[in-house]
Amino acid sequence: MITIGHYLVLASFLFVVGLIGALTRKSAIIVFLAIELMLNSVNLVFLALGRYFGQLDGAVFVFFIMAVSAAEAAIGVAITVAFIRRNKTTAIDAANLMKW
Amino acid sequence: MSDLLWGTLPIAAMGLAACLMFLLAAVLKSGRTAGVLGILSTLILGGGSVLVLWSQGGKVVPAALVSCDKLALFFDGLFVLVASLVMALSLEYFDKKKAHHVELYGFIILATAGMMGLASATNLITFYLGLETMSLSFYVLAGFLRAHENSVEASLKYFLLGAFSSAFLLLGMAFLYGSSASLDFGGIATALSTGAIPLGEPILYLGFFLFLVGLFFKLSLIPFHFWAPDVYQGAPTPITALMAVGGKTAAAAGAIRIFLSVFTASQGLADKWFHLFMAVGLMTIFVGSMIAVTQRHIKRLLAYSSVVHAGFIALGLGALAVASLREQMLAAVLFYLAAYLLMNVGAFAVAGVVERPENYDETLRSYSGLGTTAPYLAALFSVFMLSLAGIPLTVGFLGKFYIFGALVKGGYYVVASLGLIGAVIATYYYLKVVVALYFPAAGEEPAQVPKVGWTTLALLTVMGAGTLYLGIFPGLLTGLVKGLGIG
Repeated sequence: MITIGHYLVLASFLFVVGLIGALTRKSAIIVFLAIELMLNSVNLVFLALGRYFGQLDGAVFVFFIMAVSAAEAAIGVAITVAFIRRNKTTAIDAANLMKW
Repeated sequence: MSDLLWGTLPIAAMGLAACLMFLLAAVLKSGRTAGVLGILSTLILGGGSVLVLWSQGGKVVPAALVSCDKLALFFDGLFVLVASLVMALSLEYFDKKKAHHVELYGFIILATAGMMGLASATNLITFYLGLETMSLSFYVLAGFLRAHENSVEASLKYFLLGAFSSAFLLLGMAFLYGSSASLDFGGIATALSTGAIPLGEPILYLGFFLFLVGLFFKLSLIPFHFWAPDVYQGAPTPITALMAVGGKTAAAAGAIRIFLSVFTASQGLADKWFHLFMAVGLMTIFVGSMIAVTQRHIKRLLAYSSVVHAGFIALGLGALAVASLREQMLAAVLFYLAAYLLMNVGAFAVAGVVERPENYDETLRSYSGLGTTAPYLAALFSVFMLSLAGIPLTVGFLGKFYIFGALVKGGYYVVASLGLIGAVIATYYYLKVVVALYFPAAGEEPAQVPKVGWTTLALLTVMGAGTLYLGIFPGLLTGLVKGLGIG
């Protein structure tokens, strides 16, 4: 029997995988993908909870999160392209002009 | 027109203005024309709808997604003001940089619509949408000077860290939903006060903490501040003013509303809110001031200064948890935010004027001896710096005075005295700038300032005069913030 707890554990696991990816990977694009994984784990939580409570609210929130992620991806790709044109790399280590 | 439509009027007006600006950007050639149209539409559509609703005492619809009470309208007014100022400053700044800026104004207006959404949200969905509308516009705006590598770098850093922090905020919201089976602020508060928490207290507390982490990121409180100096330094200077003032005010507005309408319902959460905000606020004031002392770049110094100011705001937000202080502290925080708008936009405006076309930031060297080469500008900059430092006769002093006064009245002597010590440390680096203006180091030629246009000078004069006037006669502002609350 799959309970709400199973979904929450799976989502937390995905969130942590995304978190570790976002903190450790070097390429801006991979970091962004890891952040998307974190957002999708949140989607899973909302869907599971909405189903558990028998409401549509959770599913509606997921649609908004997906719409925002799509906009975010469009902007992210544009920013990354601008960055690549300057630095010839996607490595976030190259973003080191300003520190302290 | 129904009350529901009335209540969304300011947000809808700004959204409409943003769409118009994007459409016009396709045909307009000159950034200056676009900017003037942007300012006019913001003032007429945004400012007009705020004034009309304010005169009717706001519109509150039960169980709607947004609440248009007087508190929200006060914030909407601040956002309209800061957006208009920033647009007016951008006209000259971007021309000086020889950058294409026709589309800039649409994004500024869109960001303003997002801020308004955040300030009036009464549902987790609208809260999230407002926040992201604002943040996504900021990511674009930060990278608007594509020819300057620092602007692009600031944009990338802001984007990655902003999206990262949004994920925490969202997971927090998901767990709050799991603890109350409701996305509506009122519904969550009911669940909290009746103790009907479906998934148990641990999930509730986890959600609360994750939500606060996301909020601390947006408020740039230490230890979640590390994006702010880089982003504020690299972004175009008027845009930095928008992010530092508008973005932070909007985050504070969202925090105020969600705290007053949700977290006050549970004594346990309110206590945690108090302790976390006090601890993080004091840490921000101390660590932020110490790092700011070592800064040589003016925009980076101002960035740390706005981190420290967020610390003072956090003390005020934390003290909202004390029921007996709530009304007084809310008025104090609102006063502080309005004061912060005037002096901080002013300071960044001067930084934008002094900036040479090929640079993105200037060191203190570019300010040494301005007292002789550009006396008027130097005088105005001193006013803003002294106000940020909290010297009496300026509005910045009164802002700090009201917050600390309320803390002392509530008996929180330790917090108040620690905060005051931090404020004294903070005075040092502001005075360092003022000293550089009037007493250049021995053997140094006084620095020169690029040509300044009359619009920028006029705006600087107004902001400087406002900083001093409200510092001596605060009645106008204190009358406005008195008795505001969630409807």
